[in-house]
Amino acid sequence: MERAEGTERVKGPFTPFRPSPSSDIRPGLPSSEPEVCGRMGVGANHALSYKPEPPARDVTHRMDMTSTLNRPKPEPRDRTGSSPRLRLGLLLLAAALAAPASAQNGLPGPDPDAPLGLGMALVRTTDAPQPLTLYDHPAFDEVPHEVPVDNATALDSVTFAPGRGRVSIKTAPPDFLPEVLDIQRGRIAFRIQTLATDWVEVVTNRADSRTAWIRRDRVEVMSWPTVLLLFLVTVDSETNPLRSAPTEDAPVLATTPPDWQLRTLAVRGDWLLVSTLGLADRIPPSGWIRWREPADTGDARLLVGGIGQE
Amino acid sequence: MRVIVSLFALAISASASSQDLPLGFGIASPTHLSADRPLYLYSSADGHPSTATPLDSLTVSEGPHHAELATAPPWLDPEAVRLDYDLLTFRVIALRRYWVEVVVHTRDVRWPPRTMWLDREAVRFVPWAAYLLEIHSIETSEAAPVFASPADPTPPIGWTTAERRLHVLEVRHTWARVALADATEAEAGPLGWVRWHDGEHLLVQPSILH
Repeated sequence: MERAEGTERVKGPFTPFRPSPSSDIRPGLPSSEPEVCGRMGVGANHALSYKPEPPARDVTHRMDMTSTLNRPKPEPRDRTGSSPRLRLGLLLLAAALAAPASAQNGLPGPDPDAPLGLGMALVRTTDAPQPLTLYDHPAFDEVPHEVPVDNATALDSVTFAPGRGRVSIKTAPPDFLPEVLDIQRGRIAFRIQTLATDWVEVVTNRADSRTAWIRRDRVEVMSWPTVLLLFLVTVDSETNPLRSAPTEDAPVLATTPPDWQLRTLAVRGDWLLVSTLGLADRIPPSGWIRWREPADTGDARLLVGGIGQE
Repeated sequence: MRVIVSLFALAISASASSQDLPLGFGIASPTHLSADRPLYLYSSADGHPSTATPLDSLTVSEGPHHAELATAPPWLDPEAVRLDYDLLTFRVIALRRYWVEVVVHTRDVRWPPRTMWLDREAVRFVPWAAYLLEIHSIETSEAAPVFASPADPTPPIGWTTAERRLHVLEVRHTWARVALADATEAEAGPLGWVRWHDGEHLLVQPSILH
């Protein structure tokens, strides 16, 4: 029998979230979580760029060179500690993130081979939330297995800043790229990899499936059926056409144009009943598409995309 | 047709669920079941529940210590019912925005199993992963392999036994990391990972009560 050590990390096909070992995690806020170490912005090509915090502790941040994110050269800063370019970058970031996830120009889309996971963890950002701390794997070796936050290792965090009418991301890890980043509607959603009583492991970079742990009381955990009923979806109609019944041999009703957003009416097994309103003339008002591969095994994949817009 | 359900209640235990049922998405349990608020059962999910006509209902009466089942259709056989523990659960097969489809005859041998629709606002839907973490423990009906990692296809590091109940510590995809629910001091700590479903069926038995 296994006797796991205190900070055992489960080996998996996913790259563990490993930010800079020199991350400048500030001492915690009372009754909340530690603040962030890195900053991100958006460059001219809308790729996320990374800018380190002012070196208050003479700390620099290591970039993950394998990521798709770019690191700009250091720039002079004003009295607030942020450079004009950084502020511009944050404005551009907010503009980019206001679009649905499927239309975030230049930002990497979800890894098509990413594991299905258990659903989505939703963070609502409408009320200027406290910093969202990202943790290393908490120790679940004790029964009962509630792990005090003080005993979990904080790796990094995301901070928020109130703006005019909406909250924006103030700082975030350099490779922060959740499944849904919709600041305009005040929500960030991560794909859930693992669920525990008080913790949830989420994908913090949808392009490379790296993960971190978040306190469960900071997020709304939604299973895939709930997600699919809440958000519009897109589908590759060549491999997953709209059918008249939830079987592979059912007649094809129609093919959907690329990025055509479908509204889910029902979720049953591996299939979605979706509305065909406006899709084509003289077809039934609804049809079926697959939302996941046939057997929901450990290797199952999500077959619909574009999740992010209601 | 309705029957008085005293016999019905005796016939059902918290472990009545069948592993032959389709996996579904999780569990639904009524949120406000009381003498003046029956649980309505619908044969289809047309429109909104407020305008639909139910096929039948489940009613309870106030007993001396807790609510008791009063009337129910003769074919109704939920996943688990123990009203003395405020427990009534159905397996969820499909979801709509305003509706949830549940298995109403858990031990039926017919395929597909008999299902009915419930008003989604009348129940609390708990996905399987969250449910396994909520309940007291799980059991395996026979010896099941325990692995060190859910991603590493190495030989099992041990086996569960049907007699030992397991606490679920975390759930990842089709795997659950477990520890012995009644562990001695020497047995304390996680056992490892067991497969809790195979994509079509539940491979473990929820054990709801202590």
